[in-house]
Amino acid sequence: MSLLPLSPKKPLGEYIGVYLSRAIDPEIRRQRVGSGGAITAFLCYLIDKNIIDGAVTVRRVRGLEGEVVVATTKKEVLEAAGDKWSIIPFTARLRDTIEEKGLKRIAVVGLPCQIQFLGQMRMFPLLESDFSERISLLISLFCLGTFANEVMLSYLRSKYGIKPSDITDIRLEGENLSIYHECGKISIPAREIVYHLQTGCLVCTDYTGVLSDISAGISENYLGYTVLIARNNRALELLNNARDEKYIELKEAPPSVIEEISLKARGKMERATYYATRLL
Amino acid sequence: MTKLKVLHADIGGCEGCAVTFLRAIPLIESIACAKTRYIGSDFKIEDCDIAFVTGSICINDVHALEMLKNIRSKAKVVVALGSCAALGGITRFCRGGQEPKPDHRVFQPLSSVIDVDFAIPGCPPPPQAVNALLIAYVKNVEFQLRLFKAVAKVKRLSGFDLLDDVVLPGLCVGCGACVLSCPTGALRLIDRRPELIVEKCIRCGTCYVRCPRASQILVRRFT
Amino acid sequence: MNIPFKAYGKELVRIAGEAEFLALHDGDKVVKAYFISRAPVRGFESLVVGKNPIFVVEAVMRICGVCHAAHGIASAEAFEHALGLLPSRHGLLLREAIGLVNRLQSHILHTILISQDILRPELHGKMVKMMLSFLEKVNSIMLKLGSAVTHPPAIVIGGISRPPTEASFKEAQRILVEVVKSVSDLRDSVLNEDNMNEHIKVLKKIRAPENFIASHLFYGDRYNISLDKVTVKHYSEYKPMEDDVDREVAKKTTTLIALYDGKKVEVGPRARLSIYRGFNAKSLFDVQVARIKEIELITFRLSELMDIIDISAPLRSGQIVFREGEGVGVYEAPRGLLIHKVALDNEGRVRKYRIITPTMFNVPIIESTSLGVPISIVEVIPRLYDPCIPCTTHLIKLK
Repeated sequence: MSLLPLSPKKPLGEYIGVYLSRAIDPEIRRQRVGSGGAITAFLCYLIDKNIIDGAVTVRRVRGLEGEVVVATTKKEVLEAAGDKWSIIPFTARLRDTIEEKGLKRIAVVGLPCQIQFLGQMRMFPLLESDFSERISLLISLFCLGTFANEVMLSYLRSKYGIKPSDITDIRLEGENLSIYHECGKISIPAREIVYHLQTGCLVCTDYTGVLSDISAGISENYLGYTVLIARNNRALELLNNARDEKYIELKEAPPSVIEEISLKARGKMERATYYATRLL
Repeated sequence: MTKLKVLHADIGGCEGCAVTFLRAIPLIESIACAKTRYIGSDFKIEDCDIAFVTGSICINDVHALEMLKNIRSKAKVVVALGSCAALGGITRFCRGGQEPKPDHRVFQPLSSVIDVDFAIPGCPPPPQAVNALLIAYVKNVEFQLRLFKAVAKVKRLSGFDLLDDVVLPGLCVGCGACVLSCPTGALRLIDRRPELIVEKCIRCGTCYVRCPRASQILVRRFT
Repeated sequence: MNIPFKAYGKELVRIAGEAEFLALHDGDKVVKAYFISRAPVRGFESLVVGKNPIFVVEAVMRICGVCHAAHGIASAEAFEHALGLLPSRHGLLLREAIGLVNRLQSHILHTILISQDILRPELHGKMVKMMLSFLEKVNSIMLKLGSAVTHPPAIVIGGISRPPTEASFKEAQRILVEVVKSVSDLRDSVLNEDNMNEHIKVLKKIRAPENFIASHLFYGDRYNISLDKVTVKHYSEYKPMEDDVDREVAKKTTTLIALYDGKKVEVGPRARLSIYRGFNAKSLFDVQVARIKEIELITFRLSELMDIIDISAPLRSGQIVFREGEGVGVYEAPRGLLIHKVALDNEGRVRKYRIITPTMFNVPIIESTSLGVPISIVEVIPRLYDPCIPCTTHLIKLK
């Protein structure tokens, strides 16, 4: 019995369609590793057409700490766009930040847990100071978990002698997680990451972010494309318009892709059940 | 579609949630016909589809107990609106010993006395919460209602429960939902984990219900 | 014992909280009146004993969901007095503004509650709608200045915390301009002779005695009233207890009575405007007129304040020291004089707390003003005085 519209029969939640997409602008595609840059291009479309007045996300900055990043122009979107490994759940300063900048229609790009919180706030505001009327669009990234900072930091410190303040960037590059620091870079095989995930992530059942308007991720068999899940008519309309205005390519994803992400989603739910019985 | 017959009754709160209901009336006009003590010439507890009850129940006050039981018998669905009705809220701190009724000692959430169908925390919740509940009820959006069914069964929630059930077992992911859910600003993230300013916690339970992990625990345990 | 008069008793609707009004009459006019509060006594004075002052300011706001900020401000003032703290100038100005916005919220709510009694029937649905949307505008100002629409956590000991951003503050000023416009519309509807129903004509003819007390026009001043003249009594100590009805009511009611210099006094908008603005207010209907006039006055003062307040200035005095002390906060809540008294133990926690609310003063006024009033409109009288029941059911006898 779930809190979310999610079940083993519906591991991806409710949706209208699953698509393969990528940015038409080769400049955007070049920056990406694995995905097709579709979300970046889509955000550019939304900002150019003034459908939103800002795109908000939270990323790691120096030392792996979190910072709310707001992009109000296409240039800022391109600068802020990055690998999903750098996005962390951290909404604490979200309201203050959008209040300070006077934003009224934002798109939030986040991980399923953040999107769950913001999505529930949208459905059921419990405080007057809830700001869901300022949120125009919720975009979730597929997620299998985020790092436990302390674990990662102590691992880096003890094994590689890297101090937290030396770390400048973290990026997934091919099969490895690359950690850039003052004096260079080290790579950790992506398979080992699971040992460094936050314990709280292990009981999460939501792979795609079922309360979002659009979910985005990658498929192993279609690297270079972004897999998009459109969950309501408005989201689909916006995506179609972005395609018509030549910001993104958009085509229906073949059943194999849907199968693949459903499998991953079910796997995460099973993992959650396994850990939930032990931790809760 | 026939409109729902909706009733609002207050059994002893601060009236903050009652004002919330009053402000919600224009929002729910199209789906519900609302009766409240704040409008009209007479107010009686009568048969209705949904009764929104605000304020916590004073166990020592016979008059209030009778009123609450009367409401339960006449309403198909009872919604505890606001933290006092749902979870006790600030009245969890009440001691009694006050003139002119020193015997008014114990204040509890409604679920201690009657079966509550849905409980919505908040100190106070905004009018949109009333609207959202009615719409979810009419459309029977199960997953949304499940959370409020679970809240109706738990006896108390506070920032301390959040720390005990989520942070201490290591289940917190640092998303910050709790910080944005506290009406008094009692929670802040220190080193990416919530820290509770104890003297600001009024035990409204909103943080717990909005935490992605804690709400998961609630639904697992109570539904 | 036989009561020679007929009884008109009913549970009052359209007031803030639960109360009954019992009027004994001779078929035409009221002979005896009883205002009986029925809400349970949550007991905030005993609840806060032993607690940290920071908790107390948050908690006492939850005495009332209508005049929440008033309690917060009175409490903060009491602690500041006890600890010898002076809030910064702009903190005080912002606090005054928040208090005034709360007063607006309360008066607007009251207009919604009473409109059915004073306007012609066909107008009152429209009036309620208009006031509700007016309330939402005022609420959005409160959200920006106080961080929440109800129970604003921005009110703290020492001043204001979580001030609005520049953008937010400017937005609040913009909304205030709209509010000022709405207020003239309100005044024109409610005070327009053509819109009034027959009750008003009766109310205008009834003389309401003028014994007033008010500490300040817009904020509060502990040096402007003699606190030792305020006494609190049980209902049974105040009423003569001549017959069974007196005794029954005294057992049922959950409120105490407050007197000034041993006599009953009226507090509230009519009191404030009479004392500080020379408002000539002789009839019962003037109680309502004063409230409407006060709404207008508040918007002018608020505009003034918003021009003066500098939100980049320090809004909170630093260094709260927790130590022994005694203090009193006096504040003009929407319904009138509100007093919070605190005594701290040597760790700075509350040892004793007393709250005297405006409705405690007004209960005897409601009862005495009802005497001789035609039974057909007597139900309007308690509503005119805007009683707040959650507030009155939290008090202990002053020793």
